[in-house]
Amino acid sequence: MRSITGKAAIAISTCGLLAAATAAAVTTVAPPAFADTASSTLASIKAKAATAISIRESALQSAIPAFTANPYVTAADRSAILTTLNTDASGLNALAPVIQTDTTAAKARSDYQSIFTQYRVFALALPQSRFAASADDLTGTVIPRLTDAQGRLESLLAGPDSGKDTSPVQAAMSDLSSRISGITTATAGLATTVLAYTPAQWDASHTILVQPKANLVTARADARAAGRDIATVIEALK
Amino acid sequence: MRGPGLSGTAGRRSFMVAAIAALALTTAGCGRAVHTSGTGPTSPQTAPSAVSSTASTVRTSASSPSSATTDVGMESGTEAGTSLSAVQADAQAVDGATNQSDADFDAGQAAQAQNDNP
Repeated sequence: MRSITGKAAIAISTCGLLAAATAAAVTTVAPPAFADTASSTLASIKAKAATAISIRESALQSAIPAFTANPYVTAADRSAILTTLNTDASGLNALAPVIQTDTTAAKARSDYQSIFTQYRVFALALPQSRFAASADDLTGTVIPRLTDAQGRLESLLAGPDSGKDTSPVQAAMSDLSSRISGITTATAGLATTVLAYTPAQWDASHTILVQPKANLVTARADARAAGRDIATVIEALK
Repeated sequence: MRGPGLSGTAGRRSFMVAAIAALALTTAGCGRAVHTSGTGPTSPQTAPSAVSSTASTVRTSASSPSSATTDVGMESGTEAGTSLSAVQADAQAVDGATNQSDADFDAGQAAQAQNDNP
């Protein structure tokens, strides 16, 4: 039997080594999700960017009709809200192909970052719009209708229903007055304030919406309580 | 022979005087009833629209509260009932707008809960 020597021996050895290495790789090291190359990183960035933009576009397109249909939002606030949301939608729509045609990971990464830092759709644009609408719902309708009800009830209790002006009724009317004042104070200028915030301001301070939200929590609770006060008095006057 | 009474010109004059007096008494009684009919009812229809949900109607509904009449005449019960109905309409409008405010607030919070970082 002829012995294996020279190049053949080297080739066999090399194949053996490769086989061993491959076996070792399969059995002991999990292959990476993406190969550590510049082109793969660029691809992953593009994929994440496409997903991030798609999610935000869907959220914006879903919210825009809601603001159009809301009958309580003032015309000025509706205009400001729709301008913000439509501008964000257009901007993201224009950014998508830019990222997809980026040729370097560095450029793609920078453009990808701008999806968040330049628009802040979830951190600011949508919340500020919704909170402004929530405030308008209260200032444009709740406050004036509560005030109207208060005046009518006061007249009734001072006149034909004076005999029904009992202590519980008086307590309800007093609370109603307090609630109206509370809602008015909590919502004064709120819509204008939140709509003026910019992504840069949010980037500088993530707490800019904290107080407006707290005010809305208080105001909405007051509105519910005021409604109960009116129901109490109505029941007493029946 | 009959004296002056219901016969002749004097008689007819006497009859007319008595008739006019009777008519005056009757009219006075009716007049008192009419005069206490009171003023017209407060028009709740001029208050903010009770059921309209249109944007223009709602956003311009911040009118000053109208007062129910305090007249205690014949129409006071109807006026009070109308005013109470207007209050009920106010309460319904408040409830609707508060529900919308809640929905908007909740949607804002839901947006904030989503990750807005790379």
